[in-house]
Amino acid sequence: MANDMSATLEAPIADISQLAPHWARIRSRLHSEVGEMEYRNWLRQMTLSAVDGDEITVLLPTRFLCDWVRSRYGDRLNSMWSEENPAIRRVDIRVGGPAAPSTGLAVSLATTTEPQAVVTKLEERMDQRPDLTIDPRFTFDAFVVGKPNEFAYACARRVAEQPSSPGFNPLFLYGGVGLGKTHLMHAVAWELVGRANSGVARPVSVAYMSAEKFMYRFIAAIRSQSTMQFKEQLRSVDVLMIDDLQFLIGKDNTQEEFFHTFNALVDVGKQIVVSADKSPSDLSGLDDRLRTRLGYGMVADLHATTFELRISILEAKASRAGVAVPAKVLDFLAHKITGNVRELEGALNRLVAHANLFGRPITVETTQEVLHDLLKAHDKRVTIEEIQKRVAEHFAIRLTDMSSARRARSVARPRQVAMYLAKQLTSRSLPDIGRRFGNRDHTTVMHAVSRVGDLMNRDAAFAEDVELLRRLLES
Amino acid sequence: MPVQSSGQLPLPIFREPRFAEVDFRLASSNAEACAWLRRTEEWPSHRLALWGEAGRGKTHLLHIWAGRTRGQICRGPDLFGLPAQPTAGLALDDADAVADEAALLHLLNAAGEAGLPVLLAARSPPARWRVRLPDLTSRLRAITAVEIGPPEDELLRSLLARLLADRQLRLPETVQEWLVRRLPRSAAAVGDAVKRLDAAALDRHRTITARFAAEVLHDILALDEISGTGVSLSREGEALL
Amino acid sequence: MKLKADRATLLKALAHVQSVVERRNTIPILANVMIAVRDGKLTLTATDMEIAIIEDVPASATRNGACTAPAATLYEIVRKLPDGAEVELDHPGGDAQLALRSGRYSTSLVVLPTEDFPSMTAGALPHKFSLPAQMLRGLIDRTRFAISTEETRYYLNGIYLHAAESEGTRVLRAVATDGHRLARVEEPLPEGAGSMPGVIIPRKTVNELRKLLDEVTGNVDVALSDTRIQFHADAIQLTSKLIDGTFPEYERVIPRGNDKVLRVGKRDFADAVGRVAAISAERSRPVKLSLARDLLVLSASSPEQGTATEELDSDHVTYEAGPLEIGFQARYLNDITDQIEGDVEFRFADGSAPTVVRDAADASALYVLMPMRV
Repeated sequence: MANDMSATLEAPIADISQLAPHWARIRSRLHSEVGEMEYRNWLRQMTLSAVDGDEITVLLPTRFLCDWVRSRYGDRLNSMWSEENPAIRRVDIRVGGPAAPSTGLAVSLATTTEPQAVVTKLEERMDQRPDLTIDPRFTFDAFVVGKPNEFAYACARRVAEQPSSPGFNPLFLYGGVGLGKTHLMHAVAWELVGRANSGVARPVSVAYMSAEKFMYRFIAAIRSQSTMQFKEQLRSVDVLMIDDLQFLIGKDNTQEEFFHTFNALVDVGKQIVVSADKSPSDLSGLDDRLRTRLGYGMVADLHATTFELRISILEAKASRAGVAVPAKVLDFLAHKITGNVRELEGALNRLVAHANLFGRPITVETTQEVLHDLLKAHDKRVTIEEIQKRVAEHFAIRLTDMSSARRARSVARPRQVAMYLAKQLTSRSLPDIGRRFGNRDHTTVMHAVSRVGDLMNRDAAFAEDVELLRRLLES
Repeated sequence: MPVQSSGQLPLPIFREPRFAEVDFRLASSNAEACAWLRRTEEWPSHRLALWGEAGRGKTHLLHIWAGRTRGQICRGPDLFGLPAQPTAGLALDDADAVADEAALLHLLNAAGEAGLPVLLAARSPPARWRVRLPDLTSRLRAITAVEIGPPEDELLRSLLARLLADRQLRLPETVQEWLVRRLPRSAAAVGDAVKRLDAAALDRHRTITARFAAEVLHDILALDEISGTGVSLSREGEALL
Repeated sequence: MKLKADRATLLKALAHVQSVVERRNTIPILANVMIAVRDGKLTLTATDMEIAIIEDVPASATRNGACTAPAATLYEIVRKLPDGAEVELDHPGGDAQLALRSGRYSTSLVVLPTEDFPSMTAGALPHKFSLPAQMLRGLIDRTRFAISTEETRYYLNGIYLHAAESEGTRVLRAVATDGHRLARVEEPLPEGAGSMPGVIIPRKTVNELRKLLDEVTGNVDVALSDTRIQFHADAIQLTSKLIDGTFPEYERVIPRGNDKVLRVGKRDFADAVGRVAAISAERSRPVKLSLARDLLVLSASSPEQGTATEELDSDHVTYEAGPLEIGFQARYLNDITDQIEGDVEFRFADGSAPTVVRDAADASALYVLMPMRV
């Protein structure tokens, strides 16, 4: 009598650790049953939590994982447990427990390396002032000179080489966005520091900041009642460079302050470099006195790029990056991306980074693919009607055969191709696709999709045909 | 027959989605985006933009990336004025909905000067945003933009399950399968369907079955036949009831 | 196993346990009650795998042992025996049938092996406290009407019990909501409950427990973990799994600034609602409350039947705020006023915002009700 009670009235398993070997076996069996991907996605995060009577509790760290595992693997877990240990009859799957370090995406969404370290070091060498952030890539050497920018380049070089007496003050650089104004200003700073460090010239102190930053610092100084300090700091430099002066339009107080600083520096023979998107006379909204003073020095503009300049820029960038980019690709880019240097360089950078990351060669095709957001104004939405029409034309069958009941291979195969493309290129559900092909069942569509997939794997010519159709439809 | 609202207003009980890293599903449609996110140090000019239709996982990835890199998350519509000097990488969600273009320009510049990464997410690629500031346009057009493509069938299936789990709605797997097969195969459609099912079930105090789902989602589901008197389900649909 | 017990005593215990047993069961043994005699003591056990009830029953046992027999059949037989009868249960062990004898009546029942009977132990229950049965009744009675029956939304299919702080004092709170209304009741925090996790007790457990509480006069001992809760009162122990869900942050939907206050006698109000709502057979049709200074007009209409209105004037209501119109489902109003003894206090914001309802004389319960679009 006592025997048949012990099975039910006394907990058969006292300690969860007794179950560890069972659990390990179950996990590894599941792993081989469902495969690496499934296991990693869903089951890896399971932890064995408790045993109560004949029931064990398995935890998953999030509700999503828990619900998924319960509905998709709950029964399997139950039966595996009772095979493994007959004393366990039920598995309760709940939310809880820690998330194990994830794999997949997480493999290394590594913390960023710190590129600012480079800049910081540079700053230390140049000046203690934290606003002097010079991009080390923007040197004169890296500036590609062509007809549209050679004059501005020459002026900037002169300032860098003879900061105390270039023969003009200020240097006013202007031009559309992304044509190299900022690059030239950084290059001036970089050159001044380089020359000082190598002993060619005496050390000079340089301040470079965008007009917005000038305003930001000015306002901050007013708030902290340290405007005197701000002024002194600015007026103690040998070269002051202010980028994007158009930003001061409409900001009268900041303009006023800049005007005074400007005068103070010019009066004692310090050099000023200013950039803007327009010439001084076109900067309406800027104080007249300031406009006049800005026009006193050298006004140099950067023109829109020419095809030749774009090609030289691309070649220079590519060789600097140490990447061999086919001439065809450079040609393609120079033709397609005509806006400005920043976009052109951006496009090349994207191509190179993409090639590095995914190990794919740079060709005109990959370029079109990688830059499709830039090259096309919008992505095309393909309709099932277009697919049917195009496929029917391609295989020279009647459009009505797309929805007819005819089963001859000469029409059935094209119909399957059209269904395959409808699945790939539209977001319609399979029943919906089936309906548009003469009220066919969704299983017919599924069959067509897998059939065409199979054929494409086996028959290269057929695959090429389908790919061609896809490209035609997408373009 | 479509389900009409009962007129009863619901209590405003909300639950924020969690965007846990373990809940993210890698698939070929998001593999390229994930590869880029793993290598922040290789982003050209420290900038990257993720783009794609609503519901494809941009916000989820933003949270994972920000968590991993100790970056900050901000939403485009909340961005105004001169930002404080950034001290960490920044993930900007709904970046195409920035109202203050100058603010975005400052932010890109400030992060650029500090050498900090900026991750943008939007429905369309930055090159196609309608932006008035030329300075911003040229910066946006230079950003590496990576598309998250339309979800594969398996991903749609898990997306539906995750959206239901986020709202703590429990639907039998058979009903989920039935839905996934009939909904348009887009993340946005699945998201919309879950939202509507949740609201309709709460409104009516109804348990969500295939039949109820067919009534609520009659306009987006591919049902075999819709007559004036009611929704006719397919054979499998009937078997589920 | 062999024992003799008083018919009335046995019937009461069988009534408790057979109530837990599910009527329609796919697993045959779950329809059974386990009858066990150990060390001369009789216990009855039943479970549906979510809830388990164990009751000690006074009996004179002469042989140890255990078997499981159909709970409903056993209950029906014992119920039909004459009052005052003595019932003998005799099971020789193994697959043999269970003999039940009383006076000249005798029957034998097919049993199922005890080894197959699911055992639901509670594991470690680290949080323990004790509270008067009456207090527990109050927590349940005033909240359970608001439990959701929408199966999809499993996390609302129960009462959320947790420790909270209310105006500086620590309380034990019961909360239930179905997404249209919410009930929140609190009692002073029993010693030992301070560190308990918030738990969601399933509706069936709540109902079984409530039935048992009718007969309890003293204290109920409560013990719980993250996944199980156990109630122990007199000779009965009820163990239940908890709902694996996250209860909503309900405090966010309780309005704090509602300043339009209506006071009305519970009887006056409930009767008027009943009369006005009678115009429509459709339970979810709204009753409209139109308020002006010291005047409440209730009205309802039905496209088929017509309209009905009733006025409650300054003799019956106090209302000092501006005019307001708001509609509620009649049964939701009734469910709440059923919990209230004296005056009902409504606090409105406007016609489409959550409304707070309280018993004017009792601060321990609070109800939030969402209006209908009218």
